[in-house]
Amino acid sequence: MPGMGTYLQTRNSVVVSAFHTALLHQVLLIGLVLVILSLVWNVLRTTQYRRSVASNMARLTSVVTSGSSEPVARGVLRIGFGVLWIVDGLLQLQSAMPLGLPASVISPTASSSPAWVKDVVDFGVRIWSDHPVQAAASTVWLQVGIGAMLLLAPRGRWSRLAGLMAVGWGLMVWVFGESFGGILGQGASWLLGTPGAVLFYCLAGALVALPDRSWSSPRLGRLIVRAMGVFLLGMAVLQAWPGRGFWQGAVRGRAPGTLASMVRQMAQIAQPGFLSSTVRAFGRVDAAHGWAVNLIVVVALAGIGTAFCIGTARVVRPALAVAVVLCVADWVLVQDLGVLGGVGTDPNSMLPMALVWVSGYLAITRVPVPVSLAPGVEASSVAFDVPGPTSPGLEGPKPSWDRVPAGYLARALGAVAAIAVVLVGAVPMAAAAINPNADPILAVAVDGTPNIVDTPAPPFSLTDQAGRPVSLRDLRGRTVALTFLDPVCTSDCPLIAQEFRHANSLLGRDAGQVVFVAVVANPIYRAATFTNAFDRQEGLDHMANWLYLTGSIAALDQVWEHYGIEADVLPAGAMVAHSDLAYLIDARGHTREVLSAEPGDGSAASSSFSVYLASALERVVHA
Amino acid sequence: MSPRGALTGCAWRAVVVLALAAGLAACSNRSSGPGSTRPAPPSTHVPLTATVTTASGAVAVVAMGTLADPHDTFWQVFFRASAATPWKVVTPPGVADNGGLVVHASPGVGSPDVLAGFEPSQALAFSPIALSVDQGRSWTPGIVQGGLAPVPDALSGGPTSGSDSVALVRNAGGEVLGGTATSSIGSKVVDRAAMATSAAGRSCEVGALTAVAVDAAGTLVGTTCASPGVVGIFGRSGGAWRQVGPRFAGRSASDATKVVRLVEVDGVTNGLVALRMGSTTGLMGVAGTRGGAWSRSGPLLLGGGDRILSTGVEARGGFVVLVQRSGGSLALDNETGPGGAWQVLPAPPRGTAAVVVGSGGVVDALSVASTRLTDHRLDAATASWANIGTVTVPIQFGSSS
Repeated sequence: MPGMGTYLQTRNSVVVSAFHTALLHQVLLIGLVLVILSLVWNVLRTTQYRRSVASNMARLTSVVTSGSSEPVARGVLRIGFGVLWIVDGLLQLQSAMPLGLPASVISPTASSSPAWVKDVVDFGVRIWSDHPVQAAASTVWLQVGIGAMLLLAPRGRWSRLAGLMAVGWGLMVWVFGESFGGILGQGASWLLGTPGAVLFYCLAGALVALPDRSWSSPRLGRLIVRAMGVFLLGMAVLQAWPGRGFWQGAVRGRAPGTLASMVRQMAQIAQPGFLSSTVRAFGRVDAAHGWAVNLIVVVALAGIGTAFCIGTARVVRPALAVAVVLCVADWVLVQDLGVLGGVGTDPNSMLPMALVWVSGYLAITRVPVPVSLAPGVEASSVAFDVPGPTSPGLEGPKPSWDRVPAGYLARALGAVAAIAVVLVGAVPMAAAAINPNADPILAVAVDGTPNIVDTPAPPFSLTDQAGRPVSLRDLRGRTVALTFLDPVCTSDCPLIAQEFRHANSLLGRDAGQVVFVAVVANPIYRAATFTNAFDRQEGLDHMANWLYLTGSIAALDQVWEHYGIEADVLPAGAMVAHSDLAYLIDARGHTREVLSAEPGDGSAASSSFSVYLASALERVVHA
Repeated sequence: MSPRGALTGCAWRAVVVLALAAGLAACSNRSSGPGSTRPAPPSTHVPLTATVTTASGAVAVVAMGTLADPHDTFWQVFFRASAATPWKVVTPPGVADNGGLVVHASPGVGSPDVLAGFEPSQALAFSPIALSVDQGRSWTPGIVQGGLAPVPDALSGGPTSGSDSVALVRNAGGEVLGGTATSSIGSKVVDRAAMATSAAGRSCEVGALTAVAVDAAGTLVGTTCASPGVVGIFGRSGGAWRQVGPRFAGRSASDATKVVRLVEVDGVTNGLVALRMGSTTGLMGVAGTRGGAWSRSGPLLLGGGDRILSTGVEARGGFVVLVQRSGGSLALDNETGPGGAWQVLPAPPRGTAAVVVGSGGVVDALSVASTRLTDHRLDAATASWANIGTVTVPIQFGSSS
């Protein structure tokens, strides 16, 4: 009904149920992939065993494990971020994600950003909002898959590919999900997560994707630590910048400072009592001593940043210890662990940042011992890629896979499985991105399921926009999509008209068997002058199978009554309140489906109702 | 031989230099033409909030509800038969009026019709209208085939109910349509381009169409004029548009103008004209007839931060203007007759949205707080305002979301 603004609740049962069903289907698909890969593993191992017995070749595995081990610093990044990606993926399983993520996370984050950032973010929000089930389920598998691949592929090309995938998807999340990490918004602060947690995921992915030789000297470690030092110095300056609300606590009678305000919001999130009381306690301290708290933060950031910039292990070590403590304190007291509230998507910036720092320090202090390899052979190719014929003891005509040890084979198949998991997410996400039509599940969520009936439609006899008489009997032989529109309505009716127009274009050839009919739903503005103006406004005046019918008030009253339509004239400048219903009437003149046509918050251009209506009309046409 | 080869390198360079110089000279001539050094007409904004006192009563149009939220801002039409009777809500039903209402009623002894037009809002692009011949008790629907321009005089009508009505719409940068209010106003009368290229329009240097009115001879159109001292009021005569407004002499002769109100009162055209006077803007009332003499008020000065809150037309002609000064205080001025001098009235109560100068000089300040309209009346003897009544309007919040 116009003016009643039906909007989807975050945990709408229809959408949540569809989300769970989609996840279940994808789990089954992934399970199938795993079964196939298990069979492959079994076949390969059996074949290997038979061949080894036949050739008396003993203990294959001793050969290939002779490559150099993974640098510790890289291992920390790979395993740490692998776990984080999986945690993030699992957080996406929360029921509120399909509808809650754009409304509760993405749009609020973008709200304080410049207009062009909002425009960019709106593009992503649009895709997610039009396909919430597909997008939410895809995100789960994309992130779990990237995490699994990082964990299962320790070295070599596939490991580096995992790093690149992390960079790619991370950038998407950073731009569309975090509004460029909020760096262009008001209130940007290291304490609150600037420059965005996912940027560290991207950085880690890029480091994992580097060739092994990059880790063979402390240079990379020093570069990482110094870059982090410069970053922290910048954050210290930003934190100290006056007029941004960080120096003030919460003085009675004045708006609370930025940090105090943020901590208050965090304390209100549903969470365990001890955590809530800890956050509240810190909030009280900051409210009373905002200036001192900010001074400590600024000094700490500047000190740690300076130490990192120096970049020697002796100076970095104590600074790193302080930095990690500060990170943990901020993670608990300000960022509130980042995962609570039903739509927390990641543990926020402190853990990934600390992982990058630790990795940088280890890259300085734990440089891997070089292993002598045959000329032209890169360590990575020994470690995880299929071993080449130059590996000692394996010369001969046997196929390369015949010499692969069991552990290697298991990890390789695991990586293949991880890629399959990523594809289970990426393919539907890409399909959603290029599909201009919204998921019809939204229409069902807003309007409920249609009433399926098979009863004679109430007859009517009215006049069309050209003044010609039209009755339901005249329309026999064609499927009728009938609705009720107010020609001077400002909100729902133009949207519904666009839904009808779009459904007509979606029908293709079947459109020739369908006539779209609207009956005026305004007892005052009901003349053909108004229906014609409405048709021109909505571009319906060139739609051959469109009829906008009107009649005397008595005739309209009768039609409204027979079709259960209320059309109430409201006082004081309000529009006429009327029911938003659509009737699908088959070629015999029988009503087959009754749909709520409430457009909710769908857009005129590509709302889900038109997709839903078109498929329902196809059903009736071909029944 | 290539064209370049026909000239020596030196001659070629000379040709290029000459061409550049000629181009620069042409640009320079154009930029020093008659229009460019003049100040543009003022951008003075006059809101739709307005009042008019007619022979049969007074009409007021104000925005109510939650004014910070366009979806919950609802415009209302109030009517009272005399200063002794209370205000009644007579808003025409059937259309959401969140975009604003334009109301035309003839001051003085003209037609008793009240013509209300709905500004486009949200997805509605054209303007439904409604005509009442019984002081808002009942309304007959009609339509303007376009979106009404957001100015107080975007609608006007002739002396016979609903006939010869004109509307100023947003199409093509401003277009005047004519027709019958009870069916459709959609016949093109003139648009901005046609007016600007007419002989009269060129002499005024018409920039935009800003108001319409109907006098005994037909349609009048108000415009901006970049040509100094020319008041852009045009009427059609003998198939051509002629400038019928006055030309200012003296100090105002060098000011660009914008007609912000245009009303016909008992055969006399009343205009409220904004003039760009250096860094300030002046509001000047003018009154006259086609081909006749025009009287004018002195300028009512508006500073850079001043904002017009509402305008009103008195029964005998002349305007009342409510201004919010840059410091937030309210200032109220009215003309002592059509084209007469401005007189300062006591500052109305805080929250005043519109002011009515009724028959007999009774002055009422209407203030709005959400759903309540409060009427304060001026006691001229003590220069104080007294609350004389409140009307509560049954606003349907949320009905346009």
